[in-house]
Amino acid sequence: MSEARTVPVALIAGKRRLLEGLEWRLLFLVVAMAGVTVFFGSLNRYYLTWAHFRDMGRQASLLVVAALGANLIIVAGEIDLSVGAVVGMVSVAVPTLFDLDLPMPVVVFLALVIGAAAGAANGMITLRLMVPSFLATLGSMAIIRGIALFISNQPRQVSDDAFGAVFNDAIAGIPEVLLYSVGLMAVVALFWKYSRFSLRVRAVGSSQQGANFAGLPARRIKFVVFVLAGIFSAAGALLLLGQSLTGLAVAAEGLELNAIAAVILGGGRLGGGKGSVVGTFLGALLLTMVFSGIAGMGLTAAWQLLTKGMILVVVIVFMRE
Amino acid sequence: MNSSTPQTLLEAEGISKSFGVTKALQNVDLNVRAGSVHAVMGHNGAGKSTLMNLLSGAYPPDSGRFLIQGKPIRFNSPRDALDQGITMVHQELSIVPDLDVGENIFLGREPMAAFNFLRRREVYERSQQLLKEFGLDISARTRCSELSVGSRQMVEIARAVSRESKILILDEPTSALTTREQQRLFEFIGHLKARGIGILYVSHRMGEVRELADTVTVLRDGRRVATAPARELNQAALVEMMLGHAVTETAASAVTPQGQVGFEVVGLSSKRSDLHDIIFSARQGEILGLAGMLGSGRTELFESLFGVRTFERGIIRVQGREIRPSSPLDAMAAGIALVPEDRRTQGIFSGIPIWKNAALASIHDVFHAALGFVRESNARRSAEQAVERFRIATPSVNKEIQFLSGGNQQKVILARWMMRRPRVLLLDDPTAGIDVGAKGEIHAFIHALAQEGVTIVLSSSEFAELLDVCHRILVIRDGHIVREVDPSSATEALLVHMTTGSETTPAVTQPKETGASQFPSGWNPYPFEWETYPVADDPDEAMKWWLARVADTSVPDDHPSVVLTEAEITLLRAMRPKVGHAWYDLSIPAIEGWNRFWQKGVSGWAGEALVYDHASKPDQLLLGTEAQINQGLLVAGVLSFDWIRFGESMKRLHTARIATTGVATPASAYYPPTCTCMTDNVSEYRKLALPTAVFLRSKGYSRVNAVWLVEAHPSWFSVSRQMGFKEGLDDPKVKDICKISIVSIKPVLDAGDAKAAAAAALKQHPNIHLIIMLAHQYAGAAAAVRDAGRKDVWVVASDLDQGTTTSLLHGAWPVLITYSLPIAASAYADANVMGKILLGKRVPLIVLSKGTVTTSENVKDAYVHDWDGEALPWH
Repeated sequence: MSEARTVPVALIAGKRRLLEGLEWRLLFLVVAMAGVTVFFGSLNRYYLTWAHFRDMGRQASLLVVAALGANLIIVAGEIDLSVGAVVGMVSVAVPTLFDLDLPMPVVVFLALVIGAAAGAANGMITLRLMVPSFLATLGSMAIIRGIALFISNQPRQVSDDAFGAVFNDAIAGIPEVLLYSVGLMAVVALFWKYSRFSLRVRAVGSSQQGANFAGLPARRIKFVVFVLAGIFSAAGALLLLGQSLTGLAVAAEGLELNAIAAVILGGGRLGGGKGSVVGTFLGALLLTMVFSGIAGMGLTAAWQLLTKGMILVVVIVFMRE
Repeated sequence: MNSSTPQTLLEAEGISKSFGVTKALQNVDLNVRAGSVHAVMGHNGAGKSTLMNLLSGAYPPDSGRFLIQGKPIRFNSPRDALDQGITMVHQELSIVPDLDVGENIFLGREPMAAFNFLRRREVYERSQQLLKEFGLDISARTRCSELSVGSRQMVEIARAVSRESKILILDEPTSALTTREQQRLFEFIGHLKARGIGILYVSHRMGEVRELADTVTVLRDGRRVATAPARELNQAALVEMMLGHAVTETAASAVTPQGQVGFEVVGLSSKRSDLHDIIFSARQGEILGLAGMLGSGRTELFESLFGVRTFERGIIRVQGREIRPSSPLDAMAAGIALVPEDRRTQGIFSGIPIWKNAALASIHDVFHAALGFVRESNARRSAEQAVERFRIATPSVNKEIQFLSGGNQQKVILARWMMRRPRVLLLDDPTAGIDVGAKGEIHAFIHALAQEGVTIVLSSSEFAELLDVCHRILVIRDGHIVREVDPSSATEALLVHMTTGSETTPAVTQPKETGASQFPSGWNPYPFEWETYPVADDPDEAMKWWLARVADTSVPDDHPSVVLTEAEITLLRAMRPKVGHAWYDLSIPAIEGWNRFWQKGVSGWAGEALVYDHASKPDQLLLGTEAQINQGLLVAGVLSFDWIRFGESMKRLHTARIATTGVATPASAYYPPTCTCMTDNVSEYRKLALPTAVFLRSKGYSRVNAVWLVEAHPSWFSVSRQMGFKEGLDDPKVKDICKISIVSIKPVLDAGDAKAAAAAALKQHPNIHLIIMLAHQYAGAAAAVRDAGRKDVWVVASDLDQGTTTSLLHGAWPVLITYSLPIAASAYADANVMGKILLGKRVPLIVLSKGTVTTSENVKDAYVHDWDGEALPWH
């Protein structure tokens, strides 16, 4: 019988890297954020003020949370285009629920349930009816926007004081919504690094076949991912409401694209298997800073949109894995 | 259960499965015993995959049952099969590339802590332990996408075993592996058997089944044809069982066709494709094999020839017409066709009917009508003819191609190119993954085409196929054509060694016995263990070793490695040599200590020992170099320590008016066995002028001015080189390729001399591109070229023995063209030592040698060119 022999490492074609690619990327994102600050700060003094940073933090919270959901979905090898629509729907649903005189915790819970339901619907269409998620969520995006408009085609005000206290306030000068999104990011990051669930999501996204062979319930995992993404979108809607206390059916239009761009900036791979929570977070911050800078440049709406769109395309093309 | 026979792990009883009307399996029985390999063979569509899928739980059988260790079992999903200890190893597909090795091993059964958290440390510790048990030197934290295919497969198997799998199903496991990886896998399988694991091995490669399997089951058309111990089955019987009828082998006609040259490639180089100075030519009607591993440059070469890839330098000629394809359309217009490597992604267009698939390459010309319309009925008719000619199994040409079996798909691709009536057909592994029947048909077809005069270049991942089918085989490695092999005398193992560049070549340990061997039986040219010399691995070490050896005065003059054995002396005396010509050296004081050994050695056998050394003023013995070259040389009874060949060579020497008496000593005596350099110099060097011309032509020169530096001493084999080479240069065939005009001839003594002479020549004749220095002193010539910074000047060198090598170590040099001589041992030694030592110095070295001779395993940037008598391929 042959004894176990050791193969020279050279045969195994493994290349060791000093630093994982992802870490370089994080460094790049931080440097880019500094660069963006300097650039826009030199154009506009207001950009460097505390008030503006607080404002950007408030704005970023929605994108951060939406992008965390998108990261999950993308790592699982799927895509969700209904993010903005879900945010819009929940943002009008919440004021409506408050109008029914429901207490704040119940409303928040129901908001998350609505998001979960939307995610579940996306999951069902994708996984049961075997429609590629791109098409499934393209469809659901329209349907959900329709439902949102059906709930209310007017801006709806949240009148509840408790909600305002929990979402619209600031702690030590830092907007609560930003704290929530950072907190959520931290929890997700922790979970992402150490949980079995994240390992399985990466496995399913990287190789469906490999996951099957390992006996993983691939469809169930993906379904959970869709539901979670819906919940993240709903959470995003709550943060959006926290910023303005106003719900709008057409809110957060195009958010899905920004979220996907943030994921890609953070090192996510369209096609699945790869993604970073911290990277996504930084990506979302960077995008918010850039957009805010563009908005402060005094450009017309057309130019703003054009510039934003171009930046998104450039990000997706050049920063993808 | 009988306790003396190995335990039966898995039994299949009367398994049947139908898909629609197709009966994929009918009443198949099978059993797998612990610690044994059960091979399942059958050609495509025989039901192998269905059986494996049933076993791995992909779907249930219509009838019949599976028993595991005697207990009936039913699977509803792959998970069930896994739980029952059956694991299917799908060519690395079950490995998740983005996870690391440890994560992959524990995926699906992760050790858990609270909050859904993994015990990561446990994952890595246990994985590392497991890898170690299997002798895999891989870190458990390596990302799997960074592993080679072979390593991934091993990880996959290790994982299966760690899951307590008792039965492993290996489905064509070697198809994506390199030969080395295959060997590792086979070892690994032995390991698994020892652990009592039952292995079901699906393959259509006869060789490996016979090597590995204990039992073989053959399936045909969904039925079990036979189950028998592997050792009782021979290849013919197996093939017959798989096909249901005997196959008639269509072996290549032994005679290489002597037609016109149909396809020539001269000096093709491409940085991007990593191809280097590819030279070959093939006649019309010739089947030229191209043997190379994945990544050897084989596919890149095909694609370059077909215009898919661009290349920087080189000439391609199709039936004498020079082409430079910048797109496949150009190549097609010149009559080149390529059947690409990957049929699925590069060959077929799935979803499109057979006839369109076949016509696709011809719609722009053959089937072209006005206004961009296609002559559909013509195309259809051609396709129908092709279906008939190639015996493509299909009810109609309207059937979409993806529904055909691999073999039939490939036949459609062949038909696609045949419609264009190509002059040159490039086939990149055309029978990969094709069943035996279709393979035979494709071979027969290749032969038929060759008979029609098409030039065929064929590569295959199965070397046995090349040996069977081809007239000649070129070995490609790292983008170089490193060797040419005669299929009639080569073996698969030899090709494997050559293509992988294995550490040892069979020729070293056991010189190949061919008719060309010049050594009397019992004569060992290498009385040493090659391994004990530091020669090869580190040039600096080698140099040190040599110098120390020379300086070592404690080695007695009659050291056994210096003085010949009794038997050798008897042999030599029987030849009655008149003069022993011992070695001297002009240029290398470092090894002057050598001479005393030679004097001693030679006087043992020669009537008279004439020993030169660097103090013996050989220039005074100079007879007039130019005159010698032009008039020939008459030397009576001159001999060197070199080996003069018997038979034909002797006759030729006599014809060349050189009287010989015979014989040699082992040049390797005392010094590391590097080179015994001898030959019928005149005729060899006459032939060697040609590749020089080809080389220059590949650099774009059709006329070149040269300076000839002549070694100024009267040894016959120095002068006869000059004679031969001069005759070669004057050959009209050579002139036709590149006319080399000698503008000056200068005699030189040592390397310093050569350097001065070359430097002067470069000043005096700035338009020269070649310096001919057919002896060691080329080191000096080359140094002069280097100092002049002339990258457009090459040095023709020769006589690469240990002394030369030492002298080479003293300086850097530009390109050398060097000739290795057609004695297996010497050519090998030349090339090997030169390669290994020069490699460290990054010298672009071109070795021209007779094809059937083993050359260096390490000569990078080497041409190895065939010389077969006077029959030159450049007619």
